[in-house]
Amino acid sequence: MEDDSGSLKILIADDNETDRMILQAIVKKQGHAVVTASDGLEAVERFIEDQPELILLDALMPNMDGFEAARRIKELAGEDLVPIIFLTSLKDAESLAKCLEAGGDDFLSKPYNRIILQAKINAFRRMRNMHLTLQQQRDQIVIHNEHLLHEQETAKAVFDNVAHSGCLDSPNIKYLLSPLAVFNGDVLLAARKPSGGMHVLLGDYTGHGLPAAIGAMPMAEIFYALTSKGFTVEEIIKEINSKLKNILPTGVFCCACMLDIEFREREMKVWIGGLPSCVLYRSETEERIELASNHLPLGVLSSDQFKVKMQVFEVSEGDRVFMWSDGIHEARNDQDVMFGEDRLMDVFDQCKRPDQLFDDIQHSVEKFLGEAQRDDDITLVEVRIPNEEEVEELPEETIDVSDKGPMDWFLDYRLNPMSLKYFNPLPFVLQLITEVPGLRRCSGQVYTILAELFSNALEHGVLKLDSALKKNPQGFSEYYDLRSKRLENLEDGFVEFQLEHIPTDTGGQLTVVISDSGDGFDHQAKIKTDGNVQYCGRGIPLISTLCRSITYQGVGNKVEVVFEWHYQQTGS
Amino acid sequence: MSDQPHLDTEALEELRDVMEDEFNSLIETFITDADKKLVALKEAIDANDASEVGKVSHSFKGSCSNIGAPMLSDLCRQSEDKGRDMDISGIQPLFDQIQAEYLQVKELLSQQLN
Repeated sequence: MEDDSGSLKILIADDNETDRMILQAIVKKQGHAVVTASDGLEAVERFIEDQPELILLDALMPNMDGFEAARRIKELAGEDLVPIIFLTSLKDAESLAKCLEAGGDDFLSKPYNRIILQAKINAFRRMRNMHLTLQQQRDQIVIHNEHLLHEQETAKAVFDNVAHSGCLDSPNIKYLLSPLAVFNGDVLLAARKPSGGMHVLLGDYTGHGLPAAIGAMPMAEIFYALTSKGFTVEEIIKEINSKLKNILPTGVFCCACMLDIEFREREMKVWIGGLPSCVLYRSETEERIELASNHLPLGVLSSDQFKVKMQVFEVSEGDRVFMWSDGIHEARNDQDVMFGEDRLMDVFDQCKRPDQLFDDIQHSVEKFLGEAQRDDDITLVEVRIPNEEEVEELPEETIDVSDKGPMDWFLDYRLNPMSLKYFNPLPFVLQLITEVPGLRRCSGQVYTILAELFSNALEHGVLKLDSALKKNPQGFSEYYDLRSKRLENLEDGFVEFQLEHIPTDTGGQLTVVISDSGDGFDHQAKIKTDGNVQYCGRGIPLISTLCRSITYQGVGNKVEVVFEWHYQQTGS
Repeated sequence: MSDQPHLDTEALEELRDVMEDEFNSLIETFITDADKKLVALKEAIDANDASEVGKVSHSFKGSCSNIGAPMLSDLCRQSEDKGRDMDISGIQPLFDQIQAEYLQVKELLSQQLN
């Protein structure tokens, strides 16, 4: 072992005793320790036993010459640097070169010059120290690297629990997402809304590795929590933006696209910020509609600067929305040409069968990249508007129901213009109602009822919008523009909730009365026409099936629904 | 070639400085070794073994140069070359020269003992 003074243990291998004596004296005088050998074989044995740090090796020795000894010693040394200085009176260039090729690091000619030998030993000692430092640092790097990888694995495990795939496995969703996509900054989330519809969010974070993945977690939490509570897509996007703005460092943000699909209403709202244009592909007309980004990415603007403008579409069964991160556009082949948006749009234009579009896009990119390239940086999503039968009923949550909780209560909650403009009361009201044990498992149905009736009260009652507008394609976006404008300018009006819950012998009964400041409508007349009640939204027939009764009162600006629930039989 | 000294006194002084107390021991070791080398060389020549002549000459040459006997070292080099060339036909005169030179060097070295 080297001590602090820098003295080395040096092996001197020479078959000539005179030469050995001289070398030994020179080396000891420099303060180093010496072991000796008189032939090649002995040199190798000495090396194994005594672990010298530097070797003076005679080139020509009996029993095994210096070259072979050098080869073996270097092999035994492995990764460590044990300098070998050949001792030789050979003068020709070929022999000297042979010394170095055999693993020798230098040579020393006879007659031995003490100054030169000492200088060489010093030089190699410096080199050894440098080599040792390098090895230590390299080993540290290896350990750190292993830690990092382990951390990443742990982070991924946590992430997978938080940002679970939600309802990505629904039959109407197809997606391509590499398992390590989160470390490329790509995140895909999907959840059913309590009303039965669906939210889908595709995010692409700037950066790579852990920093990119970390931002995705709060986003996933917010997405799933707020979606299940019945918050709107606008509210969710605002909340995510605000959270990311707070926690992400400058220069880190999330390009995203979020879809809000109402299956029954056949409506879709889209928010895009920073991602390349998405495509809505109409199945009937084979029209390709580009949904271009009209917002900055999430996490850039502060809450007061962040405005949400949804793109609203009427959609029919079989229509498909395609979303992607920029991995496709920026994929490069070995001529360094990018795949680009034009090629992507070509795939749509050449489409023969819409149900193959997803595969067509994938194949097109693979073909472009050629065999050498992997395409695991590509994130691709297709969301298809399903038909009625396909939409699975949301499973009822099976929660432990104890009959302790708010079973008998009354709430009167009136929202005036400012509240109507800036607040969505549904999540709060739903929360209150689902505190009732027994109603928690019906939150989907309750939400559907509340949402439908509130929407009617606000849009038709207070804002006086005519749903007939929504029947034709242009009218559709006109309707939503009008809704925004009228709500913004609202000065008078109200929507009022009156909720009452009482226990029954078999469970409980919830009565919801929603009234608005509007003019109502001739509900008596409508009911008399036919059983196919077609007023307001399309959801009224559904509500009728969910509730025990639904009655319009007064001039039609007041509706009362009664909803019953029963204790579940244990074991059923 | 004839203006080379039999002994390089400067080199010898350097050796004396390096070896300190072991200087005498070194000289004795050299002489003992050299005697053996000469015997081995003669045997190799008599056996007409050119390869062995080369090896022994090479080894002797080395220690001669280290001890500071340049002329003797050079004679050994010549002998080594002949051996490596595998032609030791007319080597006897050279051997005689080596032997003569060695006796001179040996005498001078014993005078140098501490």
